[in-house]
Amino acid sequence: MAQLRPILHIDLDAFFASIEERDRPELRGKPIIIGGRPDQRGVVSTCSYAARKYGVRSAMPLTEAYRRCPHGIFLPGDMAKYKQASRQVFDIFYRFTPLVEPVSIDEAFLDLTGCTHLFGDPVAIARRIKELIKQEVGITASAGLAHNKFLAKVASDLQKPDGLVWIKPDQIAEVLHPLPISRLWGVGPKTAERLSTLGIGTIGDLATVDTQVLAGAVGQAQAQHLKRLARGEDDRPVQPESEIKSMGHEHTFPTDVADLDQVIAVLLHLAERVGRRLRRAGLYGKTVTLKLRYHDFTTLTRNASLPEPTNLDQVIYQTGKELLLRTYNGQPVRLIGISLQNLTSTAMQQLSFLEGQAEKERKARLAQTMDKIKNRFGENSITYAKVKEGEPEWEEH
Amino acid sequence: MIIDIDKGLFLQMLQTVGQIVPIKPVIPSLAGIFLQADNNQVRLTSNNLELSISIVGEAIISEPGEALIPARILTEAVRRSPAERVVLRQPAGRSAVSFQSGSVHMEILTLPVEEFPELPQFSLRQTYTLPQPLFKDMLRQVSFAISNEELRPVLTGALLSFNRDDVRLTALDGFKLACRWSSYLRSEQEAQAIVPGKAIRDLLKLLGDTELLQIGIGDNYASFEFSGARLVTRLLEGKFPDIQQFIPKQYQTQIVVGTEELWQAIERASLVCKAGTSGSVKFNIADGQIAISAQSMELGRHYETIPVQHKGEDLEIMYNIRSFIEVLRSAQAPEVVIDFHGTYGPCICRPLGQDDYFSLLMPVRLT
Repeated sequence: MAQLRPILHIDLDAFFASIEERDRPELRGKPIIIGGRPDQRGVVSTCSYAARKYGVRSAMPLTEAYRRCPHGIFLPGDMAKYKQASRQVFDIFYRFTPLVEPVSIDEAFLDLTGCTHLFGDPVAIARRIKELIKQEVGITASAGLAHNKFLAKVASDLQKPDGLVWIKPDQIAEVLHPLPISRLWGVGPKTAERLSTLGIGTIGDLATVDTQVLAGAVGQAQAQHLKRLARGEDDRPVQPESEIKSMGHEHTFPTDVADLDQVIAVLLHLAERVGRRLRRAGLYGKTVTLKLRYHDFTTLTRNASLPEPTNLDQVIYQTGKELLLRTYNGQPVRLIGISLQNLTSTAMQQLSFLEGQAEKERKARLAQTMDKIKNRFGENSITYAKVKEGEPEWEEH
Repeated sequence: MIIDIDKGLFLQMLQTVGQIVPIKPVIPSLAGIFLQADNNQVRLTSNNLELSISIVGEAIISEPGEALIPARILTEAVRRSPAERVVLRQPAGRSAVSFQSGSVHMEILTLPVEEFPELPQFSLRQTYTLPQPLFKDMLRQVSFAISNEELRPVLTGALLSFNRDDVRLTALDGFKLACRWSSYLRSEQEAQAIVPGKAIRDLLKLLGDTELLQIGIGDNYASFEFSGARLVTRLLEGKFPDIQQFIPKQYQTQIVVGTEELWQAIERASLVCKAGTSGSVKFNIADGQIAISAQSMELGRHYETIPVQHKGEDLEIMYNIRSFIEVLRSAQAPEVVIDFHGTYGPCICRPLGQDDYFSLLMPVRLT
């Protein structure tokens, strides 16, 4: 049998609320509810542990949250700030291993195989990562260790907040069996209800029920899947971010636009954002795809392959513009989008004797400088003059 | 039209002209092969608007005529026909051709002859004659450096030049460059043409290992006549870069190495690259040896050394694996001399003891 892979699941505790507490000490320990004003439509995106005591939960309508916790501190949330903190956390992960699979802004799986000889045993690594997050980002995280993703995620949830739980192979039954079946991946309210009619409420019940009986209720495939999970089996690999297939942005104009210059200005803005995301993720794309939708909803996509992978705004923009000029038929435009495919994380640059190397380096330095300014002063602190001249109303989807 | 023709000959002719028939033709008639039968000869022609190929073969023609027949069906029908001979009949005015081979009878719908694009009319300014194998070697050694990038059209072809001292073929894409020349042909009448990469790839497949090739150069077209076939291609317009500017004068590091040895080492290095031969390999040249190494987080590491004759400075440099293999393969020599010009400069690879070829390759670097 193959050696067990140490998989670590890290979940930041009440992430958005923790960031607010970090930045505004007077809020510490208070019920913080992030999502918007209580009289607005919308749902809770995160709430602090203090708010959870009142029964407030993520994804609950704000009006309901207000009913349960009227003295709660309702905040709209500052996405840019949370993203910045999330990036700091992920940077910490990457110091230990490139095998990081982001699940969301505040959650990731790390495959620690191959880094234990450098950093010590998995528990020591998990502890070190938690410490670094506390020191450098100022928030706490819960860690779960096990030999697969499913168990690691169960583990991180067992001791929140600031927990560290390791489920060893011989503890699977002991840990899993008392848990409600809703903890299983793929079990929603519908399935849970169907299973409860069979008298199955916990994972332990599921483990002992006959597979054929189970299949009668949920179908053969689902039954096999649930049985596997109940035994603590899961063979999904940790998929690093570089397995992302495509990265792009698109923009729908508030009213259809027939002025090509304005479309081009928007294209530059989109290329700028795509370039920035690629650079942040440490990725390079080799294929540029332009998407163009006319006022009558006719939609075209055109792509071009670059001689070498890039993450530079200017290269993405120039290629996209070239495609646009070749394609554009003079009709009013409803939507424009640009994306990169064939993403790689190898930062290998093929040097050229034709195009001035100096020109390439100038573009790279420009991107670096703009990134630094944006990191410090925010995403809207700097852009290209042409984007401003276009003066579109931003409304991305 | 009634044609009675040998199956083997007909199949070979169909395969030759069929090579350029587009899979998804922009106009339907391009999917057809144009047959002209007269004087106990059949001429087949295909045309994809950039290139055309025609070929003539012997046949028994009991009634002359013309037809435009879908290439794929006709070729497959001939390939699978049971008998030694194939008979095609098309009564005048009918839009189908009857195909007969042994006891097989087929009726194949034809395309309207008048829709087949006319071949370009052009006059040849010069013609030159070379052995087919020589020209095939030239194509083989240079074609890897042709650019695929449409943004600089002239680089999607190779420069063919007939000079007083030699005939020369050059291609470059900005990352690599290859140039092959031969003094077999010294031309009083000089001429230059940029031959599209597509024509070069087709010629590579079609040229044989014996017989001569006649190359005709016109203003916008060139023709290549060989073994009964004639390929006509449009030429690329524009100015081909002068390659002298890219070639440094004095090497900083020079090695002489066995081509096969270095090639095998690089192939082994590619085993640990996640991207395979799209990955990169590192060379460390010092103390009379070259160390070859590669690694990836996912697959592992490789390291080996090969003794070389080494002159000049020590060097550490990285290359794209596929490109470097192409450079070695294209030298077509047991040993090569490689001149390096620093970690970020080009290297020039020449066959040892042979003055008719060089290629140039730029390194890669970590950004």
